[in-house]
Amino acid sequence: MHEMSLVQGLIGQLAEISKRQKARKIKSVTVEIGPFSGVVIDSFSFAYDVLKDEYDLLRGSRLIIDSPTPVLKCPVCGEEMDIGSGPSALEAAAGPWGLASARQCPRCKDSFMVPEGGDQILLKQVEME
Amino acid sequence: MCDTCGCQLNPEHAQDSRVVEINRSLLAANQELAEKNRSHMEQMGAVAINLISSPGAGKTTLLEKTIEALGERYRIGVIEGDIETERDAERIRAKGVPAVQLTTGGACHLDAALVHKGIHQLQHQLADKRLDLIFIENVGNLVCPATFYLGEHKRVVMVSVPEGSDKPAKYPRAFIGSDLFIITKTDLLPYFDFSIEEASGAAKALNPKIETICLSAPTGDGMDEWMKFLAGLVNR
Repeated sequence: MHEMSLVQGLIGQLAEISKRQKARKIKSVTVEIGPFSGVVIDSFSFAYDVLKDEYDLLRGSRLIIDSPTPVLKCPVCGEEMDIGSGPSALEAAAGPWGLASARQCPRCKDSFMVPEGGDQILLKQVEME
Repeated sequence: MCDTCGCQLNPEHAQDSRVVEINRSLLAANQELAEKNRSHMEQMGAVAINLISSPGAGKTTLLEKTIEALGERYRIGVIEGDIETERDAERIRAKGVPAVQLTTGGACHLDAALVHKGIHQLQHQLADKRLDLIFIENVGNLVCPATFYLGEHKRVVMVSVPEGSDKPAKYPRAFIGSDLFIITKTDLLPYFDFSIEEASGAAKALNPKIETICLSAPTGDGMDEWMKFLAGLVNR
């Protein structure tokens, strides 16, 4: 539900950037949404599509979303584990709570694997003219 | 100029179009403002706590009981976030401490700009402009508030027994970013199928640093640990 306000913030940044760059039109915007950021990519795209038509600067522009693969990492030995992407990634990170062994680091067995990085929401690149 | 969209096929486009690298967080503006909030509250002498939970988990009740227990010892101020109404701020004021009500008018979370306004309004109500503890009660929602740093020193996430012990696994973001997990309404444990082990275990799996406190604000059970947590913050 907060995707709409994030997109409004993005549009504010785009307006500033285009002013600074003396651009009159933005053609594409690349955003990186981390898998642990809590942002729903579909809702974010939808909000962008709805809001872009209200601004001359953005009308007809394209939103490109990169979403890096989430990993679990052992805080002790640094072992990393790919847990797949999509909405289930966070659930995989949270559970299964009862099976402590399932979350144990397969290498050092000294700690539990915890979600690593991927909570960023970044404006990476703007293509303009 | 761009291979992805194919605009290099149009020479007219290719001439003016350019790509600029930004690499700035979408939350950067919020983050900057939140840092200002933090130093503003520190100048007032206060430690700030952001309370996050779903509606009805007992945030306001916990605050009422906290003020009853600590109101004499510490100077407490409260910033209340809701979509509509002054009700929560009125409940807090009835306990004799300054409270500001922020109404978002529909937004599902507080952001740093709103809290900035709240801090100024709160300061306005104070004779000496000083506080020990500022509680920021976020809009009841276990999802969106987790994304927005407000300038708090500690973030506390709460789940009540009737909500179920699967909440940390279902709403992980709120637990990843929090310092303390409070399970409320423990007086209702006999009537609900709630496993403290499941809830605290899942929270710990998401965030190894998070501590769990179980309490019932109306009966006072477990409140001691919460008081200890707060006292530790003020006395640092």
